[in-house]
Amino acid sequence: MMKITITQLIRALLFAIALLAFSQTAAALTVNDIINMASQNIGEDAIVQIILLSEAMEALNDEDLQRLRSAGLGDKTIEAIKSKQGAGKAELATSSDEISESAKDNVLRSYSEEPSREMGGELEQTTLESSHVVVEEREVSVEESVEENADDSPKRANGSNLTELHSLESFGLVQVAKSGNLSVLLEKFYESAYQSFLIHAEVQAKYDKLQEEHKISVMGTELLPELQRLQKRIPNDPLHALAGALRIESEHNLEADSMAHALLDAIVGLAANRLGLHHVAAQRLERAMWFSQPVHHFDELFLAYQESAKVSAHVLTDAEKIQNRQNFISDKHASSFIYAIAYSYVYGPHKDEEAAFELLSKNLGEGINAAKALLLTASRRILPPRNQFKTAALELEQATSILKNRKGDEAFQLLNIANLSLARIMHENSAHEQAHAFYGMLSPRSHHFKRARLEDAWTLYFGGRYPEAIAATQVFYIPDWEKDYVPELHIIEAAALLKLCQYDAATAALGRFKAKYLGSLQALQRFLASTKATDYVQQLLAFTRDSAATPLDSRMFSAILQDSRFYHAYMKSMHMRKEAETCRSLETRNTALKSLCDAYAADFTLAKSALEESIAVALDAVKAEILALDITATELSIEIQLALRAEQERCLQLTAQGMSCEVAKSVPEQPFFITENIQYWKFNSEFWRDELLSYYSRVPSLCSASAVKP
Amino acid sequence: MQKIAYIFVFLTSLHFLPMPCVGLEAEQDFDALVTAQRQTLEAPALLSSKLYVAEKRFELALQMAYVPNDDFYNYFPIQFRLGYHFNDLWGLELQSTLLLLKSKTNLSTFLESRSSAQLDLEQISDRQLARFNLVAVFHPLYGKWSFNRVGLGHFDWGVYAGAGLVVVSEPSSGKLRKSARFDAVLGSQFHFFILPYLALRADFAVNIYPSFNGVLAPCSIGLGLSYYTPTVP
Repeated sequence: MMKITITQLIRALLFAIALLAFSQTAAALTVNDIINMASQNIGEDAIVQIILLSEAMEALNDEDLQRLRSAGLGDKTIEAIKSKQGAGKAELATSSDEISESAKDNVLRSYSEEPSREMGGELEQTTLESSHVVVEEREVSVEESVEENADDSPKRANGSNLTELHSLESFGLVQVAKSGNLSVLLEKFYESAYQSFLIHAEVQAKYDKLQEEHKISVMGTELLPELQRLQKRIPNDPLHALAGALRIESEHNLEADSMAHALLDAIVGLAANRLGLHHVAAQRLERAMWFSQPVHHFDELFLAYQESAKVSAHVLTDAEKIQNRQNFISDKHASSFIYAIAYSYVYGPHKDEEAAFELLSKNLGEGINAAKALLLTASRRILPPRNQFKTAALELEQATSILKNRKGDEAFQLLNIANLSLARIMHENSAHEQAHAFYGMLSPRSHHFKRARLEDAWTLYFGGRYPEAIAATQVFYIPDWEKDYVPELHIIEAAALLKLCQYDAATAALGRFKAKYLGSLQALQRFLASTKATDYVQQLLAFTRDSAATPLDSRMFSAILQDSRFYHAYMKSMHMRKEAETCRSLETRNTALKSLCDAYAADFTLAKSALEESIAVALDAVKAEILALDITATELSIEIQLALRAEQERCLQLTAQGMSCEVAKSVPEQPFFITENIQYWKFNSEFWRDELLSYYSRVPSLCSASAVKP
Repeated sequence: MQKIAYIFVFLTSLHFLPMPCVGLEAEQDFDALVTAQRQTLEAPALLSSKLYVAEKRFELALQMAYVPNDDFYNYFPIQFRLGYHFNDLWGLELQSTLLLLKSKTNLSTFLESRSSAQLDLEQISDRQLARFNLVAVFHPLYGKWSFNRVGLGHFDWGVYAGAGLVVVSEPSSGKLRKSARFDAVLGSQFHFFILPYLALRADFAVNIYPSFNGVLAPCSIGLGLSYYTPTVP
């Protein structure tokens, strides 16, 4: 792809415009010119010579002929004009109508005057002629000065050097004029003018081609110098840059895919990122990355986007558009870039998992992004209709092998997630032993640890390892964790104890469930009845300070905190609140941020509503779960009763046969042990972090222990 | 009157607010609480209370020690300790030491054997008799240990520093006199718990005091038993 910077493009364009303007004023020889020459007492022979040397001549009509004759010019001149007609460049002749007559007159007049006045006349005239060029070039000069010096002194911006650049002197005409050979002078003049036309035409053609090829918009080009100046202020004064960009944005309605628009988004995004306004930063930086042309700071845009998107939980809204900018990112950040796009294909508004899979199939190296990519694809593979458990497991194992060798919290968390995912895949496929092994790999410092313990207990239960299932639940008796919302805990205990024919203990476990969670359910119902949805957040805050101050129950509080929808909604609301506060404090320093802050306030209101809704949903889910588990508890209770009755009946039968029967007693306390390699010791009420995965229960099965004594 | 009515209405309306006033601190606490839900846990090594708790308990200790670095005497002090633990970390301890048992060092024996006249060691060196110190105890470490896969034990380790008096017998104008001198002490102690109220105690201390013959820094290594009283409210 041909690369051309915007600055270069603008420079070329403006230079071409300047040349065109000059050529328009000087290239074509008109009848008026000839008449003017005659009026200046230039001899007819000289005029004929000029005409013959000129590149083109406009067509003569009857009126022109009369004017020429009245100016004292004879047939020689007319013949010379006719000889040039059609042989030159018609377009030049016709364009002469547009020439500023007075300007041209002045030029010609000046050359016929005294040499001592020529210089002054030329410079003055040139300035006059190309006055618009100077104006245009001043923009370029500003741009240059911005690039060279952020101070942007007005002195540098006046474009005086450019006046000299486009003076006649630059065409080598002054020296010739001094020699007095006018014919040579004009010859050179027109030659230069024609060359400038060609240059202009060439540049224009190139520019048109570029515009056509890249669909670039020139809209707002005049803003670029100012935008670049603001861009340079971002590191030291992001507030000023942000305010300036917002002001420009409010004053101009820029086309979407224009350089000015992209630069404006980049400035707002980068400045907002520096000011901690990540919500708006992520949105703007994504838009800035949409620009179809490569920009030198694309890496910077992406890195800032990554940071802001992480805080504000932003997902790319147009993954396809960003994907088309893949060539703009440097190799260093390519894997993060690809992952971000793939992630948005999966979780963004325009879902396309196939595109995500295709993207992630590329070699992302051996870094953390490769592991994240594997985790992402694995997490999608296990879902229906794919159900590609084996491939997913292989990808997860590959991810764990990458993550094991990496340090840092992110790698630690990902490794735990990978192990948890592997455990779940194994559990889903009834590979209980393997599932148990993977659950055991989760660190007690992982925030998934509790969930993993619970799931491990279920795995052990389904694998028929009932005492170990009970042992896996032991961690939930850690004093600080006892108020956590884990209603399944006592159900697993009861189910496992029932399998071990520990009926009394199983009944006790069900009693614990009812005491803790049915009580909590009542508290929840009271809370729902007495509290409006708009007050949920305030109630949670109040509970944080004083749990007795609200009707909330500690387990309900824990349930809300654990809910992932609530978590995401709260995090979004929290960041929005903090950023809205930041925005308001910045607004006191610069009022240009008012509209932005108003938008923040509106977004915060929306986020708060979403949060309240998430709490309501979480509480409903809790209610439904407890009610469902209560049914399970009742079923278990019935099973226990039936088992006890069957045991009693069996006992009665034995007694009737003259044999004695002794129903084995349940073990009143479950003796737990800690096992490490071959040594073990009795659990003594202390919960050491390094022992949490080593609990072992020796709860015996009493199913075959109904001693029958003849 | 109108103002008072407004204030009354305002104050009354506060009672009808649907919830208690919640400050910024609660918001910050809750922010931290929610954020922690997805963060790596700061799980301490011990996730519950200790099995062997010293907090708000008196500790009585008796131990035998050995002072190995005196030039002329090997002391075998008997040490008494009475401490109170304000919490698991901090405590105060009253230390008393009787240095009645002692033996001569090799240097003393050598000097006596080479001396033409009867050598009176007490004329060239002081003799420690007893010391009393008050020290602040800091116990930052509580752990478990196992030796050769035999069961599991618990220990705590701490350091202490304090000051007091040391009673010495020292020569003065050809006679012996008893005097009390300032004594500073720095030490470290281990408790190896046997029962919730009984622990094996190991102690290492350095005492620093100005003797008539310059500053001395006798060290002591002690081993004994500690008894913990029930919790004192």
